[in-house]
Amino acid sequence: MFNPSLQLIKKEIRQKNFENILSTVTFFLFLPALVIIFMLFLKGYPALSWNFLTQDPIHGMTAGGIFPTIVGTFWLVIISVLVSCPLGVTAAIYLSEYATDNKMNRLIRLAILNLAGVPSIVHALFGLGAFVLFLKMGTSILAASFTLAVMNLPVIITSTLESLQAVPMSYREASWNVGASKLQTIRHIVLPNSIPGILTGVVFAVGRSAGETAAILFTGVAFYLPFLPQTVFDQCMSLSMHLFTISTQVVGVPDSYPFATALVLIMLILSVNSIAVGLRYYFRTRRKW
Amino acid sequence: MNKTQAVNTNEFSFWYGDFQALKKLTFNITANKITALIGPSGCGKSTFLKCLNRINERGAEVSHDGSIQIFGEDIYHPQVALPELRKQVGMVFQKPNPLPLSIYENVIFGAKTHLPGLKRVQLDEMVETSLKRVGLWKDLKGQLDRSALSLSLEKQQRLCIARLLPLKPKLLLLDEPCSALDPAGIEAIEILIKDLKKDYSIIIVTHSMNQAKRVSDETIFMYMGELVEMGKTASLFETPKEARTAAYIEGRFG
Repeated sequence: MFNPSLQLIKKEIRQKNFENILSTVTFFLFLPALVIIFMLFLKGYPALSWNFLTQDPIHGMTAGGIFPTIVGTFWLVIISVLVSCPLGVTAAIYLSEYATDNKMNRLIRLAILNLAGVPSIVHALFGLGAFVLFLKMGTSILAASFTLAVMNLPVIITSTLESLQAVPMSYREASWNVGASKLQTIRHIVLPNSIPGILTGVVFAVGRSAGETAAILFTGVAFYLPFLPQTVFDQCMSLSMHLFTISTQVVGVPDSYPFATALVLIMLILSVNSIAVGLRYYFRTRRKW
Repeated sequence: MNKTQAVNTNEFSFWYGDFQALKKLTFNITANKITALIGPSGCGKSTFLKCLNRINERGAEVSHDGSIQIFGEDIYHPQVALPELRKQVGMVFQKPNPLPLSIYENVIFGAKTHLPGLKRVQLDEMVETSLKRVGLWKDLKGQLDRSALSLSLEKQQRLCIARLLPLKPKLLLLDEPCSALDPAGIEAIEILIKDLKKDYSIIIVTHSMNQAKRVSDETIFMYMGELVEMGKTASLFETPKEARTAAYIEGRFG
């Protein structure tokens, strides 16, 4: 009486097949990441050393290390986050907590979505026009960071908006209902509950800007600099740009150099991303509910 | 207006956008009594409740006409500060909604937003009095740091009442406070509500006519945004004057 009918057996086979297809596809998505890191490690291994990380490039970038490019990347990333984070979070709080559903605000949301779709080379041209020339920042770390910040804004706004809206409406109602103002509600209820999501979004944006090349191309990154940047008005080198340079523009670079540089860049991004994952985990376990 | 009246509404109408949810309501609600609002779904009873502390004004296009006075003061007067109104007219929701904080923090949350700089001793006392009042102190005094969300639904609902008390509200609005609870929880909350009417005026929206009969002194029957009948609970249920009231309380519609 409870034996499976032929139809049921067929159904279960189809079910199993479908599951197998899904898991195979997922596996193949995971594969490239592994292969890339493995190949980079394999080919870049001969160049990797402590000196590679801590010394300046010498002999027209065909020897030495990549220290100034790491320093430059840090400058760019940190300043761009300092700019985009407060702006993005503020905008997201406005959109989530204050904005009513009118034409203007719908237009703002649309603009943010579109900003996310703008190619980075176009951001670079915008940065060149707006920051380098119009605001007279010159090609500098500042101009490049601002360009990166503009590029990261939609990412930060969208992820912040999502984590704000994930806070249940009933918490806000409960808080207003005892007479808390909107600001008090945001400070004491909404933000504490959405911080993990916001931080995760910010840190992923950091990872993205660390690897960005086109956006900083005309705005503040130099081909080669014989000195480290002293102020934000100096130019700097960057890992991503350096990778492009030694791969295609310079003759006589050892084969292992570009791979080792790429490996350093990827490891940097991966470690930043794992910080994001770690933060999320930390906040999740610390929560009482 | 005299002091024994908690709420006076005069020709009060209310719209969500184009939809008229309340139609020219005129009645008085007595202080220190429990008034039940009954009627079929969509009759406007919850809307009316939410008008009393104007919690329904966010995100929706709303408009009103006529007036509501609470203890003699027009709550739609332009100078009314919403935080102050909500402090004095507290609401308990259908689904218990404690804040994602500890039990202790939940009780003092409202007080802290209105009176910054309260001392720890005062706060401790506030928590103790409020929790005692709703019958949670004995069970929870040793675990005030626990998350409020880990409590049972009935205790959560008690806590939601307790957190209104430090604000010294004049009027308590209960929006189907028992609909998420089991029978034992319902009984416990009803006993609490009846006990609270010594100190507070209470309006309760309920779907259960038995609950209205059990807890309330006066009952208002609404239908399609209109007031159909209002009277002492006992007489309204025994000898309804309106045919629609009779039909509803006999369970013929709604």
